[in-house]
Amino acid sequence: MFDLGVYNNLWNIYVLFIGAFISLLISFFSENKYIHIAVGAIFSLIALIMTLFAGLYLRTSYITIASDSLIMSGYSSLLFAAILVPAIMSVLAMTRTPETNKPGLLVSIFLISLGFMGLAVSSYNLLFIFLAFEGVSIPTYVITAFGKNDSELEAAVKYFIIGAFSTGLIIFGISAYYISTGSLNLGTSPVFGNMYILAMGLLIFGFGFKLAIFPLHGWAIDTYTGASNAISSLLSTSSKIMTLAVMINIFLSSAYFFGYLKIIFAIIAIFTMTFGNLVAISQKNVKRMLAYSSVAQAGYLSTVFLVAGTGAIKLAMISIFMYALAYGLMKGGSFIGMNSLKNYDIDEFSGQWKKNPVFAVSFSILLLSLAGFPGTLGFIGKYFLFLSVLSTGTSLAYIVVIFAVLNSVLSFYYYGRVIMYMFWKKSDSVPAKNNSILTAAAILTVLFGIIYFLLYYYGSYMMVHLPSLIMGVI
Amino acid sequence: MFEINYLLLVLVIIMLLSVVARRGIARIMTALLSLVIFAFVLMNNMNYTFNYSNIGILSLVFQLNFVSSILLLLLSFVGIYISIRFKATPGFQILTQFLMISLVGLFTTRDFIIFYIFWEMVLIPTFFMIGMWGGKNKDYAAMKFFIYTHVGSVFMLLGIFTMYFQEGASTFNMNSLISGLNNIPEVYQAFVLFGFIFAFLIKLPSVPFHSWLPDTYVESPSEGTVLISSLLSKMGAFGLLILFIPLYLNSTFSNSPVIAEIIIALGIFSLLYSSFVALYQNDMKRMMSYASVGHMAFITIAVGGFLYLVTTNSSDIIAEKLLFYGAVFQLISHGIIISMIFSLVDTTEKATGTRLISSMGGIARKLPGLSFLILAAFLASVAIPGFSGFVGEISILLGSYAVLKYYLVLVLLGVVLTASYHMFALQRSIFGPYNEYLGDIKANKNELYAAILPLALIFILGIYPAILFGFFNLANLPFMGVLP
Repeated sequence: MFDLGVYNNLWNIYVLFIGAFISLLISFFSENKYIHIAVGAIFSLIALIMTLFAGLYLRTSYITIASDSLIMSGYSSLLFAAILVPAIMSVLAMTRTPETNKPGLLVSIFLISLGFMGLAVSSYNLLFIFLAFEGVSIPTYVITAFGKNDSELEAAVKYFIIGAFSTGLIIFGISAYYISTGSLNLGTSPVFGNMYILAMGLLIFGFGFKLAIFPLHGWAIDTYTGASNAISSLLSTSSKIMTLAVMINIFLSSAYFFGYLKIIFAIIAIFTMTFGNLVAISQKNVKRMLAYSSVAQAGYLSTVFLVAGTGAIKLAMISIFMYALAYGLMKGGSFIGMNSLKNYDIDEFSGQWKKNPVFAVSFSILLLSLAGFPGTLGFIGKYFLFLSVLSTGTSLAYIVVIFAVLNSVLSFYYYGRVIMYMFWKKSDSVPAKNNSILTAAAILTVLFGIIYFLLYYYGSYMMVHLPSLIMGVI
Repeated sequence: MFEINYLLLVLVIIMLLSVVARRGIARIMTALLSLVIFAFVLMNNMNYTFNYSNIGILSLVFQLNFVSSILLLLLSFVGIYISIRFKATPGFQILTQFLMISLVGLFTTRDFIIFYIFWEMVLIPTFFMIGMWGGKNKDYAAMKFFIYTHVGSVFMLLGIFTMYFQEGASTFNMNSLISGLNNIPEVYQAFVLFGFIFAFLIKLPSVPFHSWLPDTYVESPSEGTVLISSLLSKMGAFGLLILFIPLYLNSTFSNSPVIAEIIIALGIFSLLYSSFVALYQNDMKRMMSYASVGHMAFITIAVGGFLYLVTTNSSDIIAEKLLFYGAVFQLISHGIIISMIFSLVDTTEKATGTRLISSMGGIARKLPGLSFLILAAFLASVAIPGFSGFVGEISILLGSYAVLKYYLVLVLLGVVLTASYHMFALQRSIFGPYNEYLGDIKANKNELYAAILPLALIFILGIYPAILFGFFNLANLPFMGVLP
């Protein structure tokens, strides 16, 4: 093969871009949906396998590219793998939605956005982060607009406007960062402290829009509800995990900001999960309920910032990997499961246990996993995340975790209601279609929920070193 | 040697077989599962620790101690009784088997996280039992049951985490975590104790946290009520006896009896309150669910009294033993009595078409057999000498005299109130003139024959209670039942 020197380590990302071009080439000859989806799935799968193997030799010593701008490490491979798993589920779900005449373009744009996600999680330079982040955002604006309904267009427009606004904030934050430190590399200590705090505040807001944390979540509800199911799944899993990874890279290396960071994220986490859960209770539309629940899940995920600068950071990163994987499987699976139904009203779910038991059982497993029930991967993710947050031992951590577990109890109220409808409400709803992705996600959730220690050992095996740039104290 | 890993494997295989068969055979499978559990308890001499290697931070230590063997015996009784008495659907039987497997794990594990996982697993089959076969208001009841008991258990989980981190432990082994409790700051100890007792008092239930219970018992199907009332409330009692007492005695709070006094006060209040509320219930099932709260209040009193005696160094060994063993005896006796009562309520409801006491009356004139059984069950529930309920209650009353002295009058008042609401109910439903609106009523003969099994056990345990404790060779057992 070609010898690209240190850039050889990026082959798992190149294959995604190569796949994008192949998909475009094929669309000259054929617009058969299944061929394109097969191309998308195969190239994502190749990228996943290469990422896993790359992680094996990156695990002991990470590789820096372009003077610390890109750092390929076992940690970044793990997170990229957690991004690729739900992405493969999304591309397979594109057989049903969105309806389009140009599947080649759809798959190609999808693969481009995945490639940039791989770059984003391993970038440690704000300019690189910005480029990769926009490289993800712009393709996702486009694929959200695919489809033939007005609702998809509305979703895309909302997403685009908010996305453009957040881009402005991020740019502003990056320039403030440059002024205060004189460098764009992460982990540089500031010369002007106040400017640094301003920069960090702007970056929290800018990226917070993408993560859909509490005051900035408005677009997410409409976009997740309006977009077609495969795209909602992609936006709420892969894109969100990528944003979280980028935020972890940025904020856990800003040692000067740690005091504020913990308090800000404690407040954000509490408000995000409480708000998401409270509003989800009153939803009658299951897809909208899932959208609110993914706001609540963002709240649980953002508790990870409380471990900044403590010894718990390695456990926290392993648990973020496990939670990200769980989140991808259960959220992606449940959004894709919507493909089986005609509309997303809760009445449509009633009596599915008699009509399509496989659907009912799989969907219930994913809902129980979202509620964090033991025996599922969702419990394991939450359990290790809260374990790592609590191991810092501060009273702030205790307050946040108490709120988090109370919220996970509360969340059973609306997840359980869907189970209730599926198992013992009677109505003349149409039987759900079989959905192999949903079932596969449910099986994986239970399987890894029971043999979770494989994931745990794998995570701790791959993360021998965390990149020393991030994580102030190790 | 019948090891516990084989036991769990056999139980899971039995459950999978009934999942595959999905016919009437599931009912036999439930009985078989119970017999296997019974054989397991007998073959291991009711006293054994199984120690397997650790998986990561979990320590796979299982223990068959005094309390857990008693509870496993009760579990096997309930399993056999359910399969004889009720003709439940295969789906229900599978959920029952799942519930029983979770309880076997719960009662034997010596690892906090495995304990928590089994504690939560129990919720799933119960939620579906209430929801799929329940009464009119089942949605509300199922959701309330689930969320109420889930709130308690997450605080228990936080307590477990706190112990683990503050002690710097490497596994979640119960023995090491409990013995290290007094090394951590007092605030965290208080949090741990709060988390555990909160979870256990909800599950038991004790009065301020009992409001899930009447709804759950009333809305469940009869077989579900039997399972929930006789087995699920034992989870809280098991936790109090096996986990909370050692935790409290190992904490720095063990110098002052304040918490013990609060627990006793809660127990007495629970007894009085539930008796008063039961007095004016019209629905027989609802009345008996308050009676169940009253019976479990004796456990709370016993645990509180035991803690009081130990913390004040009274060295009144006899009172301590009376309280502890009385509480354990009360567990098995209440389990048998309450499953008999709820199944008889079910028979009555099927015969007369109603559960309301005011619309019955004089059933004894038409159905003497059923009335005799109800009378016997109610007398056992009131704890008349000769029935097993008496043994547990009299031990607890005698033991708590050492603690309460003249305040024992309050407990006795509770006993009198318990007797009175049982008698009022009997008077209005079974005796008196026959209510002609009921028409010609018939009870199912088979259901009456099935009730002879618990009745016989109640009599045997009531007349010769040593038959139960005699098995265990108490003198050789460590006090409080927990093996090192």
